[in-house]
Amino acid sequence: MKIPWPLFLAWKQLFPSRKIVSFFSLLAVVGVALGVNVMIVVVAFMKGFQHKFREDIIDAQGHARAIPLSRTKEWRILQNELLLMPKVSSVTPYLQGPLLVQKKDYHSVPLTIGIDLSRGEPVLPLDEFLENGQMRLEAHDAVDVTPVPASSSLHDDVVFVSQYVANRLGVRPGAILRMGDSKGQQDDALGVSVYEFSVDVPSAEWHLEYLGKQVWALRSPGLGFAREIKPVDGLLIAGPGTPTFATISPFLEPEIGAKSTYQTFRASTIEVFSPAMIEQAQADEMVPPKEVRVGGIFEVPWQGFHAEAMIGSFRMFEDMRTTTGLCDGMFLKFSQDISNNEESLYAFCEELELARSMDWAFVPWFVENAWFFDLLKFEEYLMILIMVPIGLVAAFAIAIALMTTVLRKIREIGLLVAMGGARGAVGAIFCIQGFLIGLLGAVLGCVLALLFIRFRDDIMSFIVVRIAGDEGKVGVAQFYDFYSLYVPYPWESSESASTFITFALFAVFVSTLAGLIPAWRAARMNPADALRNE
Amino acid sequence: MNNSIILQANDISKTFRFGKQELAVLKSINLSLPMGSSLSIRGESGCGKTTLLNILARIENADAGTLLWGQRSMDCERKARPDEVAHRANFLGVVYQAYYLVPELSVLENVTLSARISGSLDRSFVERAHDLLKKMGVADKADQIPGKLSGGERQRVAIARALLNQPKVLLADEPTGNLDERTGEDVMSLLLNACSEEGASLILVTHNQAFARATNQQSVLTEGKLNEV
Ligand SMILES: Nc1ncnc2c1ncn2[C@@H]1O[C@H](COP(=O)(O)OP(=O)(O)OP(=O)(O)O)[C@@H](O)[C@H]1O
Ligand SMILES: [Mg+2]
Repeated sequence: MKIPWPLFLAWKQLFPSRKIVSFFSLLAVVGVALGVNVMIVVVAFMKGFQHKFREDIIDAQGHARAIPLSRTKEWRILQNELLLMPKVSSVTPYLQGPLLVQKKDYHSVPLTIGIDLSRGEPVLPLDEFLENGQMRLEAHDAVDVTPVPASSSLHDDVVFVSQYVANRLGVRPGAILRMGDSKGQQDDALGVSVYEFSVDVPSAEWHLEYLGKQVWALRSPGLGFAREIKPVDGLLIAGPGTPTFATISPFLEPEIGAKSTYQTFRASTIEVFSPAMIEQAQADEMVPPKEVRVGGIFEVPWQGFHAEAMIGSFRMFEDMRTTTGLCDGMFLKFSQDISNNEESLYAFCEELELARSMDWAFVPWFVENAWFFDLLKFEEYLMILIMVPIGLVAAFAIAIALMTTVLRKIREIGLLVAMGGARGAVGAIFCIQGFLIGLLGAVLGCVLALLFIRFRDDIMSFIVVRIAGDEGKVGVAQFYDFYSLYVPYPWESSESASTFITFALFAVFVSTLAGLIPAWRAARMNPADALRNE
Repeated sequence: MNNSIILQANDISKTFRFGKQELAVLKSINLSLPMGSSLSIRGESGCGKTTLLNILARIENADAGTLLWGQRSMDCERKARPDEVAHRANFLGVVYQAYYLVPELSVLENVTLSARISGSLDRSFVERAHDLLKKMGVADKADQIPGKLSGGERQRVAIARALLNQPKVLLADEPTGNLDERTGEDVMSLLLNACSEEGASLILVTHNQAFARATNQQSVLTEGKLNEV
């Protein structure tokens, strides 16, 4: 195979014979690679943040909300209809409004959402919110082994409160601590862990003992409680008002007579008043408030969500309002093909609206949060605005680097023309060099970007710890959610792939273009003058 | 008779202008070189020897005059056409005082560069390159890069490069100018031998009287005129 001589010379100038690489070309390639790397990484991270905000908003309210336009009692019919549609993946009806909550002399008026979790997956990932909000007790010689409260524990006399409300009222959900200095959530000595801790477990001291042959004894001298329990489906259930344990797998037979002591703290109670009850109270009527237990503390990752918030069951809210059969709306989630793209989501909402002759409004998340959505778009434009000068700087760097070679090689250019090289071909050497530098730089830049994405957490920790110490690391995790940022590899998402390809092509294009100026200069050069050049 | 003239220049004049100053370097130069013969040109520094060689090689334009490359007649006032440039690769070889080897290429690649440029590089050219390097006494340096060679070795490589395409004419511009006396003599005798073996006619620009005497014709360039001696 015969390679064209300008390509041969261009290649040789980058990778000379008997040398691995020329220092100049290494610099140029690294320069391009760094530029490509920066552009890909910045865009990938921006997209990661966008993705995260989007997910957070959708988590906080679903893909859309159905809002009744007339006070209708037909919401169960709509719920049934929606649940039958294959494009609708979950429906959560809700009631919402402010309720007054009180604990001793402390008050709060959280926005309260009563949700009906009886049918299918809830739209809001409540379990995740509860996990985010859980605050474990720090104790000396004891470990807080309280399991994360489950959304299924949302009975009619249980509420979940936001961290803000919990702090304001000084309330907290129940807790169970294992005494002793053994660490870890599992009780390895007894082969069990706490599985469920319901709001009706009283404050007490408990002793758990292994009696052998898969039998444990749970006693609480203070409560006068003692019972032998055997696991059923891996669960040790001693009845209402007791913590539930689960055997751990792989199960290692504990020593007979092994014992652990647990201390439980009952969940706080709070009193809840509806606006109607407050009016009645003002009219000097005796209205007993509703007493509920704090089943968990939740935290919604999206900052736009009400900080002062409470989640209860639909029925509890109905009780407070003394109405039945009404709902304030439904949180909706749709299948992937609808929700992935804003246009199809909008179209689908419109379709639903028309089919219900405008009794219900279907509001997509990005309409409801238009300001935020616009902000994301603005951010994207800003990003492009930043990328353009970065690209230009890279292009300049390449052009200057190639120009320097032309100046260094003026006499050779004269020689090549004198040896019968056509001017166009001589110019092509530099154009090809620009192209090769761009190509190699793009490949290297993509590799660097992959490494950056792969090790982003380590790099971030490294930088943060150096600047702000270990505390800074916590701050980064807490406020920017950097560590949970979803930054996909190009083979995981087409969007990421197109980011990589776009910037790689951009680098190749710009480098080739940058090589054009020196190429033109070289082609125009008078060979006699070139040969005389010092 | 005319058939055996391989290179002929008629009435070539060249004046350099910079601003209002004029420098008439060549004034109606006539020159003819029979096939297989050699011509030496001497002259003071700055008298226009390199300029003349550049015009003969059609690297530089003249103000007036015509040039014959074998049968091909050319007007020296205009720039070389692409077909003339392509023809040059097979007609002319040039050796410069400052070697002008491409530093990124190995010695062998430097020698075969002209064949590569004319698109005719194949095994036979590689073999020929090896032969020429052997003839010039630098066969063992074929894989070396020029940066690692001595001045004399570099010039031998440059001569091998100029001869690769079996040129009819070799233009040598002070090929020993950068070399010490001993090395210069070695290189010069290699050059003369190679030219006669390859059947290439030679135009040699030199300051050295002894080297000049080794050519068939000798001439001196003074005040823009070429005088035979
Ligand atoms: N492009 C140019 N523009 C102006 N003057 C030039 C140009 N090229 C050459 N000259 C002048 O022409 C004269 C002849 O130059 P040339 O290089 O031909 O001399 P030379 O005989 O080869 O000298 P040397 O023996 O030192 O190599 C010099 O005075 C030089 O300054
Ligand atoms: Mg000269």
